[in-house]
This record gives sequence, structure tokens and C-alpha cells, in this order.
Amino acid sequence: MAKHEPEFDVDTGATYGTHKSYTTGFIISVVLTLISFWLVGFGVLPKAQLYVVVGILALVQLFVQLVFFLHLSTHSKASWNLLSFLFTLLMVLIFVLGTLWIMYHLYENMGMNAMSM
Amino acid sequence: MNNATLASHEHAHHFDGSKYVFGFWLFIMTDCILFATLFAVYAVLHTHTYGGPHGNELFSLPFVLTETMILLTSSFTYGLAMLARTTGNKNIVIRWLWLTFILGLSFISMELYEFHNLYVEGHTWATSAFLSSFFTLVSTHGLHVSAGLVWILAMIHQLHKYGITPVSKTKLTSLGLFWHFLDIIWIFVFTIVYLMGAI
Repeated sequence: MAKHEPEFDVDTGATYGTHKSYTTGFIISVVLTLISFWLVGFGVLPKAQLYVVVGILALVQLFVQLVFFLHLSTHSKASWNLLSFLFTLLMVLIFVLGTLWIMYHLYENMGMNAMSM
Repeated sequence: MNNATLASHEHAHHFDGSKYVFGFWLFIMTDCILFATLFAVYAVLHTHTYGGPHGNELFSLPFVLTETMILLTSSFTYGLAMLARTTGNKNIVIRWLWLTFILGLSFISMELYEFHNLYVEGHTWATSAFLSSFFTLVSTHGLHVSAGLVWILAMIHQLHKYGITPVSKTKLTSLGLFWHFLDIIWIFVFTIVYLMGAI
């Protein structure tokens, strides 16, 4: 395995990790998961901060697994994979944030309190 | 046939799996959109309990942590199956696939156990909008994992029969993308549904 260039399989065109990259990704994911459950399980932080910190930990773990398990990279041979992923990410953000934005305003304008329903 | 035409003939029939793998990657991207819409529905409806219980009264964090660790480990063992393909020994690949299968089956069994308990206690998908969206989101993930389990069995069968060939490697790669993708979706399920529900 070359140090700088990822190795592409001749038959599938895909890059694969090494024993080291899978182990690294696995250990980091386990640690991040344990921190998230520990923070919430023992109520270590105030509620508002818990939401933010746990959300950030999930995004970090997403990034770790994308890199170490799915081998998403900026390498030119894999650029279409990355481009389609970024486009999907944009769609996901529009769907989720757009939905929450619209529904929140709907509740406000109709005099309904989402938390009491 | 002279050597030149023979070479070009063989070249034309050389199996190129890269387009299959990329096509499967695009399918996974569309599957991301499916999950995004279900997460959006859950985010809107999770407070609508219709006077029934909230997530923090229903979910057990140690139980979900166990499920999470099992699925995460299965993602790792699948990675080891992928690495073993370079040894050329199909039995090592098959052994790691069986371990992945057993872990995936344990995950699904735990999920069904959780659903069964909720159902028996009267917390069904018909109880409230919150539980409808909960069951839809979590069981869609569960159905994907179940489909993955069937695919792993088919993969094991194919490896037994044909060994490690360009075709089987392509399928092994696509299944790997699928399996790792399901673990990534689960990160957001345990964070948004179970952890944020328990805060």
C-alpha cells in the first residue's frame, strides 16, 4: 500500500482501507459512541448543551466512518463519488431544515405550541 | 485468430466492476434522501404524543448502546472480510461474512424484541403520531439491515461456488458500501431518536 496514493482495485475501481484504517475508524467510532451515551445517560451537561454536543459527536462520527469505512476521498479517481455525496448532503439539508423551518412557522402562525401537542 | 485480435477480444470482455460499484453508490445516495425525509417527519412529529408517553419513558439507553456496539462491530468485521479478499483465500472472507451475519442478526433480534415489548405494553404505531414516525423510521432501517442479511447469505453462497473473482469482488464491494451505510444511518437513529429522546 502506497503511503500517499490510495490503492484502487483493478476489478472494481474502488479503494479499500488497510487493517490499520479499519481499526482506527472502529476505535474512534466506539469512543465517540461511548462519550455520547455517557453524556446523556449521566446528564453530565445542561439540557440545551447536551443536544448540541451529542449532535456534533454524531457528525464527527459520520465523518470518521465516511473516511475510514467508506473511503470517501478527494482523490480525482473518486471525484464523482464525492460530488454525488455532496449533492445528496445538500438535498438532505434542504429536506430536513426546510421541513423544520416550515412546520415551526406553521405552528407559530396557527397559534399552536408544538411542545404541548 | 492472430494474437492482436485475440488480445482485443479478451480486452473487450474484461469485466469492469467500477461502473456497477458507482451505480450502487448512487442508489445509496438516493436511499439517503429516503432516510432524510423519514428523519424530517420524526423531527416534526416526535412531540405529538397524544397524551401518551414520550421517548424518555419508553427507551432504555443500555439496551440501545448494546445494539449500537453490535452493529458497529459488524461494520468492522465486514471491513476485515473486504481486506481478506486480497489473500485469495475465500474461506477467510466467508468466515468474516458469517461473523458479520451473526452480529447483524443479533441486532435485528434485539430490535424486534424492543418492538415486541413496546407493542405488548400498548405502545403501537397507532398510539400517537410520535410512535407512528418512530416505528416508520426505525423499522425502515431494520428492513434495510434484514435485506443486507439476506444479501450476505447470497454473497457467502456465491463465494463458495465461484471463489474470489472480479464479479464476486464487485458484489462484495457493493454490499460493503450498503452495510457501512446502514451503520452510518444508525448513528443518526441512536443520536436523534434515542439519545435526544432521553434528554
